[in-house]
Amino acid sequence: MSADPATFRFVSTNRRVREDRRFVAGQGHYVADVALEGMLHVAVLPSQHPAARILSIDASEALAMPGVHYVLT
Amino acid sequence: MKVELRVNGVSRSADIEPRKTLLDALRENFLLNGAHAGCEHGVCGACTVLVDGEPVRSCLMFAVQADGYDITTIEGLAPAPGELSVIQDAFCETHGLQCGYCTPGMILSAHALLQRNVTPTREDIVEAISGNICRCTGYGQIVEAVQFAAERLRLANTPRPAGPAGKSIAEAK
Repeated sequence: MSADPATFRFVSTNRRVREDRRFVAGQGHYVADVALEGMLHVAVLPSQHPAARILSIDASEALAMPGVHYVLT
Repeated sequence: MKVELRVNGVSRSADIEPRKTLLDALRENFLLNGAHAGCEHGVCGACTVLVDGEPVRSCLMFAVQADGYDITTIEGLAPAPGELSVIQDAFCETHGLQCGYCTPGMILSAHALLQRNVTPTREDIVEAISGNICRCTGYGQIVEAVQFAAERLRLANTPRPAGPAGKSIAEAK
């Protein structure tokens, strides 16, 4: 743990951003920027109970609703 | 509703639903994804754009309200394709970003500050970016970036619009 700072390649050296330049130009590709053909959106349903055991899941009512393509459990 | 929006110097006409926010219009209608949706209720500043040079929460503004104004997004700051403005480069130099989500808003707020204040103090900079939340950097290197950019713009004698609030370049010397 007593390495000589003069031998460091990255620690305490030039911190200039190089490969991330695109973020200052607004070209970051975040999840919200993804737009694929036929893309669906996820709605998260949290549990109604703080601590409970899941005995079964009945997604039939949700799947019957218009616009619901899939229920992932 | 048909509107004519002047974005980054280019007039674009579009048919935009009146309740659509400027943020959504920029991202969906014009595919300018630099403005980010952070909180969508005007707190975080990730959606910041400049309207007539003033930083504005685009998530709190209707797109149709922007008809007739000059809108500047982060994509409009580059002096030429592939190049970076002085402020953008300063953020790279001081590592003023990590995930980059707050960065477009930060840069636009800094740009508006440096247009009106040629010699900002550290307090001026902190005040100017106080409406932009960053969860990654701890703000230190962001303030450094703005200080560095202010210095470089002064040394380059960059013309700034003379406004009532700031000092002109002649006074700053």
